[in-house]
This record gives sequence, C-alpha cells and structure tokens, in this order.
Amino acid sequence: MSTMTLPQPVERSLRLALGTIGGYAFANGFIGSTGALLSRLGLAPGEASSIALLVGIFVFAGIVVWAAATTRLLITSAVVVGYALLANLTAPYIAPV
Amino acid sequence: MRITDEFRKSMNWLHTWTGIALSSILFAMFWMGTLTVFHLEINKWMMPETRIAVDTTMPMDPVVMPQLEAGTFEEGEQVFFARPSERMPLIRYARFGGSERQSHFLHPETGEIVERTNSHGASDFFYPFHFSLHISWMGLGYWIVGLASVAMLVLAVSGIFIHRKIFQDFFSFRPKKQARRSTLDLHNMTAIIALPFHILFPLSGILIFALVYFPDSASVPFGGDRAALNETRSGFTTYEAAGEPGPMPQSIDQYIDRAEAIWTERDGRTAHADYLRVANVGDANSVVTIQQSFGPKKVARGTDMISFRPGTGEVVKDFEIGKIRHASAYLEGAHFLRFDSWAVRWLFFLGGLAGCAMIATGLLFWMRARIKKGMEPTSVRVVRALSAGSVTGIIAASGAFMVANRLLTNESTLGGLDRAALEVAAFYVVWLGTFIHAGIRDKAAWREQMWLIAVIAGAAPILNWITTGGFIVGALQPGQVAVAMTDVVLIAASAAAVMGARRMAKTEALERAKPVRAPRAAAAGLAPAE
Repeated sequence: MSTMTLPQPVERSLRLALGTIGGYAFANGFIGSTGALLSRLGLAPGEASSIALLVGIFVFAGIVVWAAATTRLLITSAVVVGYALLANLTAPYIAPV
Repeated sequence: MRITDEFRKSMNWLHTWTGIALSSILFAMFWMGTLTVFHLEINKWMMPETRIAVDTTMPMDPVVMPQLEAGTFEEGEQVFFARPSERMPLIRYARFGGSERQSHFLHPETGEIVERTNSHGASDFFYPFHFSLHISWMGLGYWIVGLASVAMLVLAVSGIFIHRKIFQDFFSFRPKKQARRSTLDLHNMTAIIALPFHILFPLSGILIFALVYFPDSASVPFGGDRAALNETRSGFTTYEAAGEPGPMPQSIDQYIDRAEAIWTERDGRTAHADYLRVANVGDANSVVTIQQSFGPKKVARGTDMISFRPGTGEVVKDFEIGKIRHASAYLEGAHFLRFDSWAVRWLFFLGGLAGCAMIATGLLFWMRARIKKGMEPTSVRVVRALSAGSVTGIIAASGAFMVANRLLTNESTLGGLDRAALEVAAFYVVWLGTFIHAGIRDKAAWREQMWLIAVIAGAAPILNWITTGGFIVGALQPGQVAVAMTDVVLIAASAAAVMGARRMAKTEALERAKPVRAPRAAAAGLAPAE
C-alpha cells in the first residue's frame, strides 16, 4: 500500500489516528519500559517512574508530529505500532520486582 | 537538520486542523485556567464571609484541640485541617474515612463553624472546569483535557516550524493593516511572547494527572503496585487503627513548630506548614501528620510531610523525595501557583490571557481566510457560531455565574435548584444561549457578544457594591483587597469588551464597503492549509 494512492482526507485521518492512538500506545510503552529499565539499572522506582513520565509526554507529542510529517507513512506506522506492542508487552518482565 | 517545504506544509495542516478541531476545548481550558489563577480571590468576591484579615501564624491549638477533644471518631477516621492564609482566611476542617464525610469552615478567631454562602465559588466551579470540563462520566473530562494538552504541545511545536521568520513575527503587530493581517499578527505575537506558558501549562497539567493517563505503565517499576507508586509520589501512608486506646495529642502547634524547623533547616528558607492530619484519634496507632504542600517560599509542591506519634512525639515518617521527582514536583508546583509571589501570579494571569487571545485570533484568522477562499457559507456559519460561543460565549457565561451569585440569596430556589445550582444553571443557560445567538446572528455574533460581556462585567461590581457595600475604595481594607482587585479587573474587562466590539464594528463596516475579489496566492506560513 502506498500512501500516495490514498485520498488526502483519508491519509490525513490515518496520520492523526496514528499520532493520537499510536502515539498514546507508544508513550505508554515507553514510560513502562524505560521506567522498568532504569529501575533495573539501579534507579529508585519513584525516580525511574518520574523521569519516564516526564520524557514520555514529549515522546507522545513527538510521535504526533512525526506521524503528520513522515513521507513513509507505512514504515512509520510499523515502527510506532511495533514498538508500542513490544514495549507494552515486555515492560513488566524488565522490571526488577 | 534542514527544514524542507514539505515538512513545513505538513506542520501547517497539522497546526491548522488540530487548532480548529480542539480550539473550543483549549479556549475553555485556558479561560478557566486563567480565572483559576485568582480562584481564591474570586471566592472572596463571591463569598463575603471570607473577606476577613487573618494572622497566618496564629496558633492552631485553640481551634484544633476543641474539635479533637469534643469529637467522637470512628475507627480509621481521619481529621484534616487547612491552616488559614491571606488568600483563604477560614480554616478548613474535614473528617473522612468514617461512615460519613464532613467538611466545614471554621472562623480563625472563634473556631466556630462559619455559615457559608451556598455557592460553588471559583474554587469548585472554574477550577475543576479547567482540568475536567465538569464531565465526570468515566473520567472522560480528564481524558479530553489530557488529549487537548498534548495537542497544545503539538500546536506549539508545529507553530514554531511554520514560521520562517519567527523573530520578525515577534515584533510585528500592524493593527492598522487589513483585519486578516492584523489578526494573524496578534495570533503570532501572543503565541511567541507567551510561548513558555503555552508549553509549561499543558506539560505540567499532564504531569499532575499523569497517573490518570498512564496508571499501569507508571507503576511498572513498582511491579504494578499502584498503591506503592501513589505512596512514593504523594508521601501518604494509611495508618490502620490498633483498636486500643492511646494518648491524645496535647498540642498540635508543637508538631507544627518542629516540622517547620526541620524543613527550614533542610531547605535554608522559612517553611510554613499548610495542612494537618490526625489519623485514628485517641487510638494507640494515632499519627499526627504535618504537611507543607504549598510552601510560601517554595515552588515544588507536595515535597514536605512529617508524621509524629502523639504522646511520645516520635517521628514516624519523614517524607523525602528524590531529585528527579523533585523536578517534576517543581513543574507541578509552578502550575498550581500557590507560592507567595503576586508578581508571578499576575504574570501567569497575563500568560493565560495571551493564550486565550492566541486561540481566539487563530479562529478569527481561519474564518477570515476561509471566507475569502469562498468556502460554503453554511460551513462558515457553523464554525463561526461554534467559535463565538466557545470564545465570547464562555466569557459572558463566566460573568453571568458571578452576577447570579450577587443576585441570589441562600434562600433562593427555582425548579428544585438551590442557590449553588442556580448559579451553575445561569452559566450554562447563558453559554448555550450564546451558541444559539451566534447561529442566528452570524457575522454580528462576536461583536454583539462583546457588548454582552461589557454589560455583564460592568454590572458585576455594581451588584457587589449594592449587595455587600464593598466597592473598590471602600474595599481597600485588610482582607478586602482581593475584592477590590476583582472589581477593577471586571471593570477593565468591560472596557476591553467595549473596545473589542467597536473595533469589530469598524472591521465589519470596512468589509461591507470592499468589493469581493479573488484571493492572492498565499505565502507559505501565512495562510492556513486547505
């Protein structure tokens, strides 16, 4: 599927959906996995969670911008959805508790 | 990194359509948030019984101890007191954790329960509106506001990329130029001048409610234990009752003094405890907790909390947070704005107004550009009606809420609604009315609603004078300065609305006089995306 063949309203709707829904899932996975990883590396859980949340908000906004700007929507979608799935599923196993 | 035209175009449509889709919600958040900066001062205006001067260092024992000694407490029940402040001179007293939740306000001198004006005031209406929109169903309001906050960050970023000459835009405001140009100038100028606020407000707002938006992922480092996460962030510990009698605290002030001395030494600046809690009063596992949630000399919030064992005075818990959490607490504290700085409070108020102006001018510019490009008149009418109701309508409705407060008495009822509910009803009736009015009056809606704002904001100080006798000069007494300032701001708002309405009338007359012509090719970054 090439994004060039999609009508503009459909393509833009897809970009917004990827940015908001995909961005939320990506940020959620990022916060979980980063917090877990930092905690595993010895940072106190409260500190790990705080920094992951702080950065995660910017990551969410960044994904929305990326989804709007990318020239390769399909690849971007695969990266966003793939990371979101991977991070959300594996985060609990990374955590030291 | 080189910014290509393609990238700039994509940022343009993202900025335009995100702005249009969420502008009504963003304006409501910014407007209510701006009012929230002075919510305690508006409370004083709406609740005359709070217009008293208070010594904020007064001892708490004369008020707290009788409540503890006279009360019969259930197992697990907690007692809470908020110390009086210059901005909120009454002492809040609450009991929770038992079968019945109680909340009262006590007079700081007599300790007696104060009969309050039956009103939500700004603290229970404007304040929660800006973070929940008063939509409680499944927490939907929080999620809408959270999404709009992320959108605000995206709008800030995309807005920066759209501009080729950001510093030139900073200094460009040409009010004498055609309406479309001067509207865009004002949009750019308010966006750039108040950019730090446009980033700080949404970012810190999301951080405050982070555990609503990311409850599971944030608790991953705690093995998914949300209670442990909450305790680490807030410092709150639940103390179970032992079920055996224990000593009553002999004095609360001694614990306040000890806690403040510890924090003052630790931070190197004068501390002032604001909240006191007593868990399991009279039980062997009773605990007195002293908090400095919003220190007068400290921006970070919720960082100081010490718990003592009554009788022995032993420190049960001294809550301390790490450096990273402190950075987050600093941002959150900046959003709450409870530290003692009137200059910063006014700066935030102006920053909020700049945000409102930015959103309103963004909407006006979009509409003016669309009309020139020959968009369907019905679509333009719909957007115009929605935007008028969202901008001028909510401002008028906020004024109607305050006017209703001065017109009604505690005994007022209508259709089963009491005074507090009637004030809220006045807000929503006026707000809904402005949408209908805008649908009917089309182009004239913004201007006419400006006149409505002028009338309402002008009437409010007069009603305050008639009903309470407090009017600017007369109100410039200790404990009443906030009332005088609220009156002054209302009069200024009325004057600004008159000026806005007159300017709009002039613009409309010019537009009517001009022949319709085809639009010139828009320069990149000047016109919104199709």
